[in-house]
Amino acid sequence: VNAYGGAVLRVNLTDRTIHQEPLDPDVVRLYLGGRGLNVLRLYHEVPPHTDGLSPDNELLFGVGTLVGTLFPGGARFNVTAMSPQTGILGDSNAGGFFGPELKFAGYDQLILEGRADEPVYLWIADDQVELRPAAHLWGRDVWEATEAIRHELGDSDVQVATVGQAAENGVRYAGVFANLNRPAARTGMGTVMAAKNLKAVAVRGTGAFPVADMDRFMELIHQLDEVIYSHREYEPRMHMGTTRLVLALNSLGCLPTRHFQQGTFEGAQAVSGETLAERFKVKGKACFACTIPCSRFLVVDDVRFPGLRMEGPEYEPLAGFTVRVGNDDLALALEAIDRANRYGMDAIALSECIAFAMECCQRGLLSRQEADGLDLSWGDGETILTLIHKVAHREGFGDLLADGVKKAAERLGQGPTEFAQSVEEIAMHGKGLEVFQADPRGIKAYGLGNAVASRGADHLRSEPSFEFSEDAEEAVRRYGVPDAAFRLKHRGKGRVVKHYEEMAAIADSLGVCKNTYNNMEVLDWEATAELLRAATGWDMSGEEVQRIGERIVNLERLLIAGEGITRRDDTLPKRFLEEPMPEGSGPSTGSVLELEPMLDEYYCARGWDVRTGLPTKQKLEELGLDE
Amino acid sequence: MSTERSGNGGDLPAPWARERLHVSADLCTGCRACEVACVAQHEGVFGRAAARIKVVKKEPIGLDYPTVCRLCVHPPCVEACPVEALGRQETDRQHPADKQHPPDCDSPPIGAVILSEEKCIGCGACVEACPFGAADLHPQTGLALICDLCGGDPACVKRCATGAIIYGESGLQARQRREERAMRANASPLARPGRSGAAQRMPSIRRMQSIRMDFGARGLEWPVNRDERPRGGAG
Repeated sequence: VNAYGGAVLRVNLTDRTIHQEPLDPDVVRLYLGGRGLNVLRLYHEVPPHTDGLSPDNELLFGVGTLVGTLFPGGARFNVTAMSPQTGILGDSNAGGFFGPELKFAGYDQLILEGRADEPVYLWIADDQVELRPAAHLWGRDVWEATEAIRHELGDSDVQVATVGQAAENGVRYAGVFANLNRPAARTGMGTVMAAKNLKAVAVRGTGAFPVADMDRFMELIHQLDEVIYSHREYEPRMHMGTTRLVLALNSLGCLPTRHFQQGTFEGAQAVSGETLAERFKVKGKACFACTIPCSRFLVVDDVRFPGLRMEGPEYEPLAGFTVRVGNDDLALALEAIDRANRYGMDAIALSECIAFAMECCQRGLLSRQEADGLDLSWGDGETILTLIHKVAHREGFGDLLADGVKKAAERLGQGPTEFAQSVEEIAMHGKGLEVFQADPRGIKAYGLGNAVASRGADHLRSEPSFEFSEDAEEAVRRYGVPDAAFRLKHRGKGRVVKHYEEMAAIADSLGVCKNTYNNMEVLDWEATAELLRAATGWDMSGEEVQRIGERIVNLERLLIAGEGITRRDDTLPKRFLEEPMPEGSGPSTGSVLELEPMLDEYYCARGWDVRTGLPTKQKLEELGLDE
Repeated sequence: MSTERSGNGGDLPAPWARERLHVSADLCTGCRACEVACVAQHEGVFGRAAARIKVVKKEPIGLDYPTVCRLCVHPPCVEACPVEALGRQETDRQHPADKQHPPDCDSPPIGAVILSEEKCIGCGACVEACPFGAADLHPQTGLALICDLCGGDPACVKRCATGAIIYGESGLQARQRREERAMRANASPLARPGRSGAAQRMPSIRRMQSIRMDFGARGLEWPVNRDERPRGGAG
């Protein structure tokens, strides 16, 4: 198939067999690749209620349709399995250079089954695939393991996706890390990998693939480049990437200050993307073939953290280790992020767990003795760094936080009902996955998106940035009501989220970046179809592209419905639904998340049963999912 | 364009005035688009191993450096080739300004190293000889991979988003480097040396494109006009 590597690699770690299977051209036309292809295989090959850590779980690496082309940022790969953290769909996605290399080696998907009897890593050099011993890498952090494998294989261009010690120690929100700093971190995919005794996947691809019409494809890419270069977000993204959101969200009053207790942060300027670039940025960095160097290489000049240098961070880890935990020491936050990265953990989950513990302490729900004598005052730097170490090694109090905030609240909340309820109410998660670094009360489409997201509370399943636009005319044209363009209004958001969920599913399945696809909206359905026509030769319409997105979202819903998820699970913590944003939250002050009416509208827009939140038979038939 | 260039087989430009690729590790983001663009141009497919330009990346220290053919005056690769498969373009192609005779893109610009695929035996002597590691072997055919400057309109330069690869005359490039260095040594806050320097020197793409089109005249503009720092907006 044009634009594809053409093969699927199946590796059984239990009996150490390695097979190549051909890619099914009919299937990729319905699901594209990456996330779509992964969820389809997970649905068919892994039975419901499979434990995330069991050898029966499959760990899937999927590469999208446009990965490896000159599409700006066509770099991303998805890692999918049943999640050991949430018990439902686990799926996470990263950029960098691993995805394109896997495709150049000839593979669109990698299936890892079973469990090795001792630590191994997988080495893929085009058609030569082997499992190599990894006992010497076990216990090594992400940086050490990556560089050791490159050294061992004698090639600094080898792309490595690896896990750190956190995954080995069974921390349930450990990620798979590529290019040292690029994690597929959410939902514990690294934990699944380590449970299979697989330390890393290393790949080198010297092949190439054709597209159906190279001249047309390149013409469309040049047009796309122009759209990106002239986009109003190009300059700020080039300088700061997503870290610009610290000051932006501060002015809107929806930062997660001290665990969502206020929407502005007095230290915002000190920890902003602007300050970060000014103080520590030495150069811009980019993912594969991207025209927006939104990543940054930092050299941190601080005597407390000698030699600290890193790529990134994005807004999520930055706000997590500053605003969310009440810390205004930027260098300390970068040290925290670096340690979390090297141990290999999800920065959103980790920062939530620490902030949760701090709020428990603030409210007298947790004593200093229970927390190994740590000072859980807001922003205490030593505590933050110590807890990162303790969680990664499941030591003492860190063990309680290593299963995610939902399970931490369950364990901590043992005792009188009232006490248990107080603890559980401040565990900021949806379906067991920790909420991101913004207050949903101030950005309501994001709130709805978090509540309904198929992998648990997460913004990247929809990224409905339209609600910042304040373009009432466009809102009426697209979603029927002007309110859809305003972040504090709730009407129309069900349709906004439906639309953006489908865009996100397409972006993840094409392997392109949601910064450009969802936030900057550089391609609509029709333009996507045109690009796909040039790439694959399919006679595809914009409507068909939208249908693919809808099919993927519905299939994911079916998969989590098999785990018992219904409307009552599509919710967020009580604080967002019932407590108005406190004073000092700027223009968001007094706002709550009107989730129920938004859910009604969302299920209606989806053609799902409004009572249960499940896809109807009619909708499934329409999408060809009724077998 | 240098004025001493006479086009159509007249006087040859001096080596310093020849157009060649110039790279900047400061501006390179390591995205490898140049490699992919090179393969797309020469092979008509998407890949990177067959690229005639290669980016060296050392992730732990953040190094990204594009390795390009330097158009040496005494090219070791040509001298090392045992079967005379490598040669140099000794005559100038038609001048781009000559409207009656538009440039022939198949004809390499003067000074470019030319590979005869018929003669090449794939021995790798050129790979060993090139002091920069710019020569390589094709992963499928095994023959030499040598930059031909895309007939004077390099695909890598066209796709580079930050201006880290520039196609231009060495004399002008050297002058620009001198002046840039002089300004960085200056105490001016707009041209501070060291770490935040790169961010400040990062030109906008619009500005870079105008520099590429009018390289000599405006080459000095971008390092100094970085006074406005963008603010984060909503969304």
